[in-house]
Amino acid sequence: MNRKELIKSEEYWTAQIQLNLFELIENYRKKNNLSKTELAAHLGVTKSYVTQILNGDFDHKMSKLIGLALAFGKVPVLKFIDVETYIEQNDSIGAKGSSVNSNPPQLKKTFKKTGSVKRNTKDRKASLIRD
Amino acid sequence: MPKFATERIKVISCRQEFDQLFIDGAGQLDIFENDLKGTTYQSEFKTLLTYMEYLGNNKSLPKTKFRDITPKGEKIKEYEFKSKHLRIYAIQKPKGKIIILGGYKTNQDKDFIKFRSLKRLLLISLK
Repeated sequence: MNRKELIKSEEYWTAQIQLNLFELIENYRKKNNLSKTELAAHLGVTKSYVTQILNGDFDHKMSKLIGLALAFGKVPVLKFIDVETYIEQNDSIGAKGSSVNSNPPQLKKTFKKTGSVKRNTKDRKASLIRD
Repeated sequence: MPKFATERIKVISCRQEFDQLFIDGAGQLDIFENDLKGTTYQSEFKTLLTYMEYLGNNKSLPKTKFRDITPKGEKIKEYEFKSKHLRIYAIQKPKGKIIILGGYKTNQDKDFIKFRSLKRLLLISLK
């Protein structure tokens, strides 16, 4: 698969929107120190609905998406861009071809054991993993 | 000892460096993608690539999509990208991640063993 195929897939954009919505809601929940139950009450929805969004599995009607955004004080802005233009504007890495390389490079010894990210206790406890 | 190499994954575009491991010239992510050809899981594979890209742009993923699976005492971090039926296993490198293996959820236990074995061999090869 190449970059263009991925960009042209429904899966790519569905996941992007689901993850954006997840971030919007999770950030709000954390900022206001709300449990899922409290957040559900705030939104007037069920706890399982909130869980679904926070699992990145939101796949409801457009009106629900808009309603959620507005409930968090945000407006959902939708723009349609040509695929080629999008790739040119957003990708630093080329959209050319397969990742298969018939002559793969030799592994350079740039890998360091100290490369792991150390987290403090607070971070470890957080439900999100950011690397 | 197999010959290891890494190469940047071109299908995703992100700030972090996402590489795939090559073993004797064969890319592990490419092998996984080829295994999925003709199956219903190709769609999930695209979703997993999107998760990798999203994380690679220093954004957060739900725990249900990405988790730290590093055993206690391990210095190099280990990660798992998750979709409903598929898994992609990765390790930390200084400015990003190296994809070591892809597999099915149903084969998770065996894949964990293979993943950690490959990681160990890779690290030995770098000494």
